[in-house]
Amino acid sequence: MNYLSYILSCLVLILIQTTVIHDLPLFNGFYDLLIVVVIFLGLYRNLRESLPVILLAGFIMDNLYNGPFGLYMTVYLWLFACIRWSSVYFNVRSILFLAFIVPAGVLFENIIFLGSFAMLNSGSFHHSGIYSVVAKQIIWAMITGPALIMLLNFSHSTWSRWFNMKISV
Amino acid sequence: MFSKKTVMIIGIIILISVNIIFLSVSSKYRYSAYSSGRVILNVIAPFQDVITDTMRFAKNVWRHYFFLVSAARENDNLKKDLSRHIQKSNEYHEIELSNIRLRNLFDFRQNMAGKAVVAEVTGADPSPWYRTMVINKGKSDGISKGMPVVIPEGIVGQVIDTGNNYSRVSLIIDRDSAVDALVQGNRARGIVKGISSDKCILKYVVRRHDIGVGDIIITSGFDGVFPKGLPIGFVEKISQGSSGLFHEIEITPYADFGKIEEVLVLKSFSVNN
Repeated sequence: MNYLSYILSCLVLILIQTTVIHDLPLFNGFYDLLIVVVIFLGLYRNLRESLPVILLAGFIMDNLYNGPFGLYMTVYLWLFACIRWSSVYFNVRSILFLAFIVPAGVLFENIIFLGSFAMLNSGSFHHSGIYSVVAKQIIWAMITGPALIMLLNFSHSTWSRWFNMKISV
Repeated sequence: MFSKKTVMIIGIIILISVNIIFLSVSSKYRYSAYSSGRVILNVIAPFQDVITDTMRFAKNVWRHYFFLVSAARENDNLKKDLSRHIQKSNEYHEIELSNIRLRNLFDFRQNMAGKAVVAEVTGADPSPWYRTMVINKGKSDGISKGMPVVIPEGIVGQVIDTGNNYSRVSLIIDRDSAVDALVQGNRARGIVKGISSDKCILKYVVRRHDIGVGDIIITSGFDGVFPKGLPIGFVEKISQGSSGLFHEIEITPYADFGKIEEVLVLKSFSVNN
């Protein structure tokens, strides 16, 4: 049942990202919301629960966008690995850590994307808009990232508790 | 023989190398019968459709009932009239220019008499680095890959993938897009390429051609995708540079990609001799 709730969260965020956010000029330049899910799974859930969800989320995103297949899966898997490694050395419950890790994740994703453009020589590579696109995403990540992770953590914990209660009855 | 740390580093290097090779192969064969893409499109697009319709309904209610009712209605009608007149004006200007040139030497007439399908935009590309949209028409409506997509103001893009009831359109501002174009005034030829922002670049225009800010860029028809004479945008900025054969020209497209709600997919257009 946990898998279902994670997958539903991913699908809802994908739909929000491809419809609602694009329609609202205020959120023009918003970051990839699935990064929040990947960071949440990396910090608070075990490998067995997280990996299939991350692979599925990456697979769906790779099929929805216009770039090389596998790039989103690459980003999410490497980000997940980095998060798991960093959680050994840092206090993952700290707000300060959350405030840093989401923008770092967004920056990581953009570096991978830009690196792939340069290395794979795909499409036009124009420097003028890059800094503003990345900067907007990082600012949005700093403002909304920690709150979204805490909301995900709270909602999934509540869901697990409620579901376990129903099963035990 | 090797320490755990060394094995881990070697493992990471191998993983990164395999990853890069995989991405490089998949970027070359992006559209080769990715049936998974169509399956995902057919699954996700209906939900996008529902959400987009709901948002449009909410916007219409807000516009028509919370602000001045008659002013909003009049505004909608005036916008439709203006779009029609802009399209007509561009057509007449293009006809006028083509009559001035020595057309009887070439003896052909272009006519966009083909069928067109109206489609609504239901979703967008999730990545800020790629610019595509999903429309609510697909194979069952006669849409196929490669068809041009336009609005009265100008061209929008090209169909790149089709499901049964939904299709994906690559916009002209997408970094992988390239449209063969002409400068309307002096017929200088170039390629309009997207750069993932709201602008495009007109490349390969030889420097001996005089291009000015405000010059109108139209489709040339030579790429076999868009009919000739459709408006693309206007020149916003020209970079000369100290060397090189070509201008570097920034184009502002006529289509406002943030506000497009309906598009026309041209199923066929005839070039009459």
